[in-house]
Amino acid sequence: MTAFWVVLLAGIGTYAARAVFIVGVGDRELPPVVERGLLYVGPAVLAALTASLLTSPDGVAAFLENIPEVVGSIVGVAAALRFRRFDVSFVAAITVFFALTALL
Amino acid sequence: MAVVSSTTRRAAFLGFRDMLPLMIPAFPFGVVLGLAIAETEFVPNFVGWLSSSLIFGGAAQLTAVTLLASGAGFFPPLLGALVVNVRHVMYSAALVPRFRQQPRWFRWVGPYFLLDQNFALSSIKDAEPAEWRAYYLAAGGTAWVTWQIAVAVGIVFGPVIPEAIDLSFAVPALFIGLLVPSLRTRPALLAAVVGTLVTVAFAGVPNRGGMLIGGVAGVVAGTWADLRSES
Repeated sequence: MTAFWVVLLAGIGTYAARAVFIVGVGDRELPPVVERGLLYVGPAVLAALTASLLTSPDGVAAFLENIPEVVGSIVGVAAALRFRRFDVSFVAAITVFFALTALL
Repeated sequence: MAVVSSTTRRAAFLGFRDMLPLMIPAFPFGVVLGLAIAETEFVPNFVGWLSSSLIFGGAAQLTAVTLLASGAGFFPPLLGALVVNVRHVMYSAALVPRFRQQPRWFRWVGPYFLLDQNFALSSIKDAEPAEWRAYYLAAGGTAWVTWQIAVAVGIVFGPVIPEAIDLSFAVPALFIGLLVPSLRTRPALLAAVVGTLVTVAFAGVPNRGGMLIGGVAGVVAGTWADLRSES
């Protein structure tokens, strides 16, 4: 049931975020600081989430011992920088990860 | 009921056509999300699939599912998903001029289809109100159908994948691919770097609390750098 309530409430919250200005608040503009802040929510939170998935709860040391994950992550970042496409980055990272897992 | 004009039909076709290429990378993303849903016992398959219509936003769904899967309880997955989706407030504000000339029903229905790809297409589309509406709904509807199918495919095929194949790295790999290309400015880069470092520093906080601390620190750092570069 926890999962259902999370999904339902996250769904309502998401609709509210999408609708807030269109439905309700009309012409009003966001305060400049808030508007700036919103630009960095995506990068900050996605980075934090990725870091958390890789290092929590065992910490950085445990992550660094996991060679396939470390090398896969580096390859993913490099491919994303080079090609600017998430599908290319994803395939590169996961391929390297599986290859190293099989080899080591 | 007015007869649907040929220009409106044409606009709808263009919405469909423009959205299709954007769905090529979205499809595998949906499949990976489906796999993640199938893998965890904390999220029943049906509830996981339901998230595609209730939340209808891949990054937020994946955030909620992975946090639920790690046993983080109720609030971290909910907060995580909401924070990831707060960017839509910006889209909502940006599209107010477009929606001002639209009928009331569409001002209520339209926001549901306001996902990243549709914002990217519709915010730059110039058309008469009726045509813009047809374009927006066709593009959003195309994304919606594709997304439901992609996630279902992942859920259905998830159990077929042998246990020996470790999918735990698939989700962070996906996030790396989404994140890195979006870091086009210095403040955005700073936000991501600070978000990462602070999260790692607080890796031991239970229920992935470190992630929320890192996220807030990253937003503050990015905003600070942005405002500072201007003055």
